[in-house]
Amino acid sequence: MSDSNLVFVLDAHLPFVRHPDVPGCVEETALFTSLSYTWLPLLRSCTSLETEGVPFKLGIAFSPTLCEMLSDPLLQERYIDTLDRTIGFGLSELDRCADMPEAREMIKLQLDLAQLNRRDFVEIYEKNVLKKFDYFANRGYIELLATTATSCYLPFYNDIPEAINAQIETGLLSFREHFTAVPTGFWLPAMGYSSGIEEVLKSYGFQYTLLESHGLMFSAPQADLGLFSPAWCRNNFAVLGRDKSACQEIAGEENSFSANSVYLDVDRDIGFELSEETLAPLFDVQLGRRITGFRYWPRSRDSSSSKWYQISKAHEQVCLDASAFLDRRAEALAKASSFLEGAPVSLVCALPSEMFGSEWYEGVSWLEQLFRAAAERQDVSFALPSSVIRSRVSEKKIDPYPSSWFPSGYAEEVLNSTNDWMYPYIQKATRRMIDLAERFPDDTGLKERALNMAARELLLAQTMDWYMLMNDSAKSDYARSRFEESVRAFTVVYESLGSNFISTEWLTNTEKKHNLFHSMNYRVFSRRK
Amino acid sequence: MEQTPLSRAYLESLSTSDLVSLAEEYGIDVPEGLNRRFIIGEVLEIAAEDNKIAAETASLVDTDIPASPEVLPETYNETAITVLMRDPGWVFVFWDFHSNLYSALTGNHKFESFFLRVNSQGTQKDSASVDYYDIDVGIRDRKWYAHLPVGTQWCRVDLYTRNSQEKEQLLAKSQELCVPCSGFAEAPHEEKRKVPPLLELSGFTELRKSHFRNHRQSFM
Repeated sequence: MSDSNLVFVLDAHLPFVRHPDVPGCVEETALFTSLSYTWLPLLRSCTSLETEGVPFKLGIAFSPTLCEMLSDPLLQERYIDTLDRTIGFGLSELDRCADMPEAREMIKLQLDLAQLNRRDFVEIYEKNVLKKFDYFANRGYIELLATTATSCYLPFYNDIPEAINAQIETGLLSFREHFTAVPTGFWLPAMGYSSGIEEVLKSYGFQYTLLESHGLMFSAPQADLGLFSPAWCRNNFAVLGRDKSACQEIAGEENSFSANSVYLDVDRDIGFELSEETLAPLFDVQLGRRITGFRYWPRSRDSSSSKWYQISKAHEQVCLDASAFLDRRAEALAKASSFLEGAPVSLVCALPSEMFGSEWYEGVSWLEQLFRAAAERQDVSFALPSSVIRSRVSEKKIDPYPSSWFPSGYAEEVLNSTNDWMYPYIQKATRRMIDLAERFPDDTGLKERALNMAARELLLAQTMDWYMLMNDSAKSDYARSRFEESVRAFTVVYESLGSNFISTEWLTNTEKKHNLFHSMNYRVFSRRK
Repeated sequence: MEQTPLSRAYLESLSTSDLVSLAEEYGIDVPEGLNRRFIIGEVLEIAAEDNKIAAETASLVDTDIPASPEVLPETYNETAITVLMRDPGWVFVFWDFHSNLYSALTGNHKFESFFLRVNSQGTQKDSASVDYYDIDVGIRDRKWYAHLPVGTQWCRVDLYTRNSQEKEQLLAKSQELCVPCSGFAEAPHEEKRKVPPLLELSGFTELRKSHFRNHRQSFM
C-alpha cells in the first residue's frame, strides 16, 4: 500500500421485489438492469484487470435483499427470459432500422451486450454472479462489507436496540450464506449514523464504517485530519469520512463527469418512446413502460453535435475523465501529506452501485479506466478500506456527528409529509415483534414458522426504500402497497398468536412470495438480558 | 361447539350490533357513537390479554378464515407519544389515545384542547426540563413537526390535555432524545478559532457555510 490512497466503495442495494404471480412486472426490471449494466460488466472488468495483472481494490456492500434476489432461481430465469426477448427484439430492430446505419450500430451494441450478458450469466457464472464477487474478495481485490438485512435507516431505531440488533444479525446471517469472506466493515444504509451505533457495531466484531463528510468533520472534538485519515471513536471503532465533493464530481447532477454530454442518455430509451405494438415482443406495456437498453442518443441536446451516440467519443471521454479525477485526488493527497510530513493519507469515495452502468452507462468503463490509470502512476493508488485503518496517524478519539448521505444531510428524505404516516405503524410493529420474541422464546412447528414470517415481514416493512419512494409520485402507490402488505402480514401473525388460529394456506403463500432469509430466526428480536 | 377464532378479520365480518354485543360480553362499556375500529381494537386487546398465558402454551390451529385485514388500523388503542429526530433542528412527533380515555377526555364539558409540551433538558439524560414551549393541537391531530430551541441537548415531548379551570393533565411522555451538538459550534460569521489545515483542505469551511444555511438551528 502506498502512502497516498484512494478508497472506493459501492453501495450495492435494491429493495426486495419479487412477484411470482406477475410475470413481466415492471418493478423487477431494476434487478435485471443492474445485472445487465452494472454487475456483469463489472465482473468482466475485474476479470480483465486480474488477467492483465492490473491492481485494483474496491469495496462493495451488497445488501442482503439484493443478494437474495440475485440468487433466486425464479428471478434468474426471468432475467434469462428478459435477455432472450432483448436479443429477439434487437434482431427485429435491425430490420426496422435497415436504412439508418447509425441506429443499427447502436442496436448492434445493445444486441452484442445482451448476447454477452446471456453467455456470461448462464455459462460462466451459472446464474449467480455473487460467487464470482466472493472469488475476487478471496483474492484480495474486493472487500465485502456487511450491512443491515433490509436497508433500514438505523437512527430511527436508536431507542429500540433490539431492532438494530435484529437488522444486523439477520444481515450477517445472509452475508454468511452468500459469501465466504469475513466482513470487518459495516455499511450503514444511507450512511445513517446516530450516536451509539459504533458501540453496537463493535459488539458484532466490526472494525469500521463509513460516514458522510459532516459526520466526521463536525465531530466533537474536531477530527483534525479531516477526510484524509480515518478517525477513531471512543471505543476504538474506526470511521472513514466520505469525500462528498469528490463523489459529486463523479455523480453530481450538473458539471459532473457522468453528466458529460457525449455520454449515453440512459433516460431516452425506446421503452418509453415506441408504440405498444412495436414493444410487445419485449414486454407488456400495460404492466408499465421500462428501460429496454435500446438507447441511441447522447446526453447532448446541442443541434450542432452529432445526433447519434458515438461510442468512440464516449470512450475517449472516459479516459480523460478518469485521469482528471485522479489528478485532482492526487493533488489533494499530496497537499495533505505535506502537512503530515509524509504520513499515510487517504480519501474515500462511496456511491450507489446503480450509478455505475444503470445511471451512467459508461460508469463501469470509467471505474476500470481509473484502476488502469492509477496503476501507471506513482502518486496515488487504490486501497481497501480495512487496509487504511491499519495505519493510524492520530490517537485522538472523537464522537461523530449524526449524519446521512441524503442531500439534506439528515433524514428529511425519509421523514416528511409524504411518508410520516408510516412511522406509527412500523414503530408499533417493531415493539410488538420484540414482545413476541419474549413471549415465545422456544416455540417450534407452526408457531415458529409464523413468528419467522412476522419477523421477515417486519424487516421488509423497515426497508427505507418504501419511505423514500413515497416522495416519487410515479412509484408511491407501489411503495405504499408494499409497506402496507408487510405491516398487514405482520399484524395477522400477531393477532393469530393471540387467538391461536392461523390460516396455514395464507402462511404458506406468504412464505413462498417473500422467500428471503431462509435461516430467519425471530429470536434475533429478543431483548438482551 | 366449534370455537371461532377472535381475529380482526372475524370481528370485521360481524355486524355492528353483534360487535357491540360481543364487546359487552367482554365487559367493555361502549359509549354511543364509538366507531367500529375502536370497538374491534378494544375487543382484541382484552381478548389478547385474556388469552395471553393460554396462547403462549397452546399450539396454533389451522383455520380457513381469510387472514389478512384489508386496511391498516387507524389506531392501536393506547395512549402514547413518540418522537423521531429529522435533523438537529426538528423532531417529528406522533401520538395516539386509548379509546376510552379519548372519549372521556373529549366528552368532558370542561375539555378545551390537547397540547404538546416540547421540553429542552440539560446536558444529561433524565435531567429536569430547563425550558419548554407548548403547541396546541387539534383533537384529530396525531402528528406534528416540532422545532427544537437552540442549545437543546436532550429533548422530550409530552402530551397534555387542558380543561377549563383545572390544572393541565399529563397523558403521555415520549422517550428522551439526544440532540446533536458538535465541535463546529460557532456560526461561520463568528469565526473564533483557526481551522486545522487538513480540515480546511477537506472542505470544512464550505461545509459549515452550507450547513449554516440549511440547518442554522444546530449552531449554538
